[in-house]
Amino acid sequence: MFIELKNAVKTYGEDDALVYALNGADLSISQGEICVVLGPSGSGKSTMLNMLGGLDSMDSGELRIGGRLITSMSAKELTEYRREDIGFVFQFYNLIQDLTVAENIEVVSDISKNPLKTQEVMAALDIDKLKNRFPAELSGGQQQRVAIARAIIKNPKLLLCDELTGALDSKSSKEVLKYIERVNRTFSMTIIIITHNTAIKDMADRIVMIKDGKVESNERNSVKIRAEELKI
Amino acid sequence: MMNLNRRYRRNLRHSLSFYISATLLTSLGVLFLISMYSGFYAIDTGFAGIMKTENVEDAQFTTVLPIDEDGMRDLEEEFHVELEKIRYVDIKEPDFTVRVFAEAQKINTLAILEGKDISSDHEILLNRDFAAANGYSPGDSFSIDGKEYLVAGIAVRPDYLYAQKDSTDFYLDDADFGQVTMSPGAFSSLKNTQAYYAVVYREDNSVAFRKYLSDKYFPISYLPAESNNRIDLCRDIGKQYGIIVGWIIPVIFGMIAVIVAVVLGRKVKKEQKQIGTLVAFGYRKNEIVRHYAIYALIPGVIGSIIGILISLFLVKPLVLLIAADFETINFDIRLHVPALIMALLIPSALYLLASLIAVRKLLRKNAILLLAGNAEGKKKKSRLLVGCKISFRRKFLIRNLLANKSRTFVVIMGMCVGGFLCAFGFIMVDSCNYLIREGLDAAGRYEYQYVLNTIETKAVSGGEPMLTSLFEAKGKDDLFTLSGLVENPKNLALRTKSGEEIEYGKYYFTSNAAALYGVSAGDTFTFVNLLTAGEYTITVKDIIIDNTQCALYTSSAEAARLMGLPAGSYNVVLSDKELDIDKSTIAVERTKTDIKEQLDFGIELMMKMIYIFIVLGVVLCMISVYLTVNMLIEENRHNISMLKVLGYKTREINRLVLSVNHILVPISFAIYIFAALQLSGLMFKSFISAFNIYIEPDITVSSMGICLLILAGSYFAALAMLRKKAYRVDMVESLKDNRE
Repeated sequence: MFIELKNAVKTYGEDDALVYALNGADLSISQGEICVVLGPSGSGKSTMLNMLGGLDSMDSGELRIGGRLITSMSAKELTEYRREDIGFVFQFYNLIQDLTVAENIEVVSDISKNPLKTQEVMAALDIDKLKNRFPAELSGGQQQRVAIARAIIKNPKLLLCDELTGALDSKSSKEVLKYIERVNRTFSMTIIIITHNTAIKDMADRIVMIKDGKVESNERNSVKIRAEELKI
Repeated sequence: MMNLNRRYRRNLRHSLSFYISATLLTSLGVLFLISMYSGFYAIDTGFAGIMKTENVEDAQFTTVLPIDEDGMRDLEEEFHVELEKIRYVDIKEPDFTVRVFAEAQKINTLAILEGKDISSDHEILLNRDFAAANGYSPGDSFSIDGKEYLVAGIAVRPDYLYAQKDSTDFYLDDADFGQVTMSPGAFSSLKNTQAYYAVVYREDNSVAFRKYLSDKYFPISYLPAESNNRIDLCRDIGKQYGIIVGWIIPVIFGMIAVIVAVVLGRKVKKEQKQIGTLVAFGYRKNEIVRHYAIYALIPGVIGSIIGILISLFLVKPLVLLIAADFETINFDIRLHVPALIMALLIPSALYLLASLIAVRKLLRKNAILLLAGNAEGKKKKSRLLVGCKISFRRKFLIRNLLANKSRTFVVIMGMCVGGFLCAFGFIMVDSCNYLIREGLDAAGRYEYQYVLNTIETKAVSGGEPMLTSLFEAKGKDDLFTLSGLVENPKNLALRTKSGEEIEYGKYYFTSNAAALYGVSAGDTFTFVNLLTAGEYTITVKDIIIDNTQCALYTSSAEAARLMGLPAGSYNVVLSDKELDIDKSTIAVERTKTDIKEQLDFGIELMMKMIYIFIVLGVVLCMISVYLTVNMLIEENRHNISMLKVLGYKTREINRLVLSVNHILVPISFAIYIFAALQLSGLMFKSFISAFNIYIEPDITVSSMGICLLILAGSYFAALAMLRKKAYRVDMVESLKDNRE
């Protein structure tokens, strides 16, 4: 398995206020899959994403990605890990407002060892005509496509998307998901999408359900449909 | 509101570094304002008060014919003046010299500082600094010329506040020279006494008075208080201090208040989501405004109070430090009320205003936009450098500076406020040093200057004669020296502004005097002989470049004519080597080194305050840079967090985000050096009428280097302190934050 999370525990607070964000969560995902993680608010989705992305540490448990033991990495190694292996797409895009589309992508390509070709990535996401625009001059859907381009330019092993359609209308959402599908296909990238929107699960190769800090189900999707056919 | 008010404590804790630096900056500004104004006020009123209550002389003079009691009474009635014969004698004791005065009745009376006034012939008064340096107190016994006297009290003379033994002394040694006052009866037992007359004018009739004196008593000397260092230096220190305080303090205090106000306003602007939430909850506008007003008042009120409290302890040492070269009097140390009111009101009012403007601006926006953190809407972006092939880092840097103009402005101000103060201090030092160098050049090539105590006419062997005397510009109190030169003087290096040769027998003002009297080449000028009060009008041929001396040059024959002396008269001899002149005829013998020391000493009086400025400038620089860089990090938290998520290393983040302001260091440096030079230039212009001296603002390359080092050092030190803060920014912030 490409991703192997075993018995992950993460708590916040102490004594009476102790909260289990993850309470013995297990997860395994194969390389090249699109995995949609579903679950109600407070179920531990974002905490799991933070662990996978090397943003946060767990109290106990083990995480291996591509055979590497992430849980034993130092802060410096985690930075390297995020720098080379992980791509992030945020719900609210998090683009640098003072940089144009091309320059926002450059922010990541500049620090990557083997970045993809900017032109190729922009073409894949149909944003090459927008390259000299600033984020404030783009629609939400366009901004999210730029965010995806920025995330994949480093050619990461794993693309993590946190509620990537949360701020978009249904038409833009569908369009962004179409591009996620294209990225998966073009660059054979493993993609994890965390969402509240259950309709998105239909485009996934794997569907994971989380509840109360535990993985309730982790199944392959046998009736996968194309993003443009989603009923969002 | 109760629950809402709990935010104050939490917000204080969360933004502790902001509140501490804003409060410190405010308290430093207040401290600077109050201590300087209060110090100036104490020195000025202290010396001026003694001069007024103890009726300091307007001038002193000596005459060939003595003026008897009746003659003095007649003069007093005729000219509505006060006259008193001041009797004194210098007595050398083994360890010191004392100048013993007979107690005066009307002019230059004594201010008793400790003990009591003399009541018998065996009691005396000592001046404070001499008594302190030699360990005398009231009740002690003091020996003069072998006779024992009782020290009745410690007192200060208004005409000896700057207690020079001789008018040419550069250094004052409190232990070596003292003033003793005794009853006229006791004084009459002393031998070899001397006397001069002191006069106080009640009307503006000194010219008529001197004319009368000249006709009837043949004056030998006439020294107005304005030319008497023992009196005038005290007035000068007040003036000097007052000018610097008046020019610099408002600028620095204002800049500090504006910096904190702008940073505070920007901080409030970041609260838009919270404000939106309060609006959504139904809070009234005035309730929200009131809530944020408290945030503004915290650094304003606390900073002002801390500044005021520290100044309570600091004013006295500051006054004693600045007035250390003068006689120690009982300074009335109290906080200057207008400064106190300014200190209490201005910071709080400005911070309040900045906060209220920011809140009211946000409250005019749609609550939904506020809740989304998008109150500013989509601003049209400048297309600067779009498509330009330079790295995104440089573009980020340039756009970040230009897109956040008020932030860039306040960071520049933050760097300028302390740097300006340091630069100002260095400019004062360098300009004065330049003046000394230039003054020595202007003084010419001679090494020895002999000022004679008589007017001579016989030929000088080996030296160059010169005839000099003090004159007064008509209608002005400012005096100048008229110097009569030999043709083609070898010992003076006179250069005219126009570059033309000196035409012998014509009149040439120095640039200093020209600036003081506002005259140019070709103007006519009327002046009055101090001794005879004779009035003369001349035409100024050209201006001599010399900013150190207030002088009018002409031929010795012309000078002799104006002074009513035979041609060939002289009272000064200049020489490049030591001359064998009868010592009894020499009043003052000076070398170039003496002149340099004299000029150096004049500057030394100013230096204490300059050092205070430089030290304060460094501290201000550190705090203001810390405050503004802190703001930069706060405003870039989102970017820092996101860059961390993207895998940027701390060093790279620092380079990208925190290095944005590096470019502002040289820009700020250039701005404050320019501003300090301009302000110094304006201030120095006001020195002309105050001190009869024109100083050209100057700063050396090494001083500029030190200024740059101070700024860069403060900046990078503040950055180093704040790096931890950038390091602590949580990566998860960018995942949760929905601001765009």
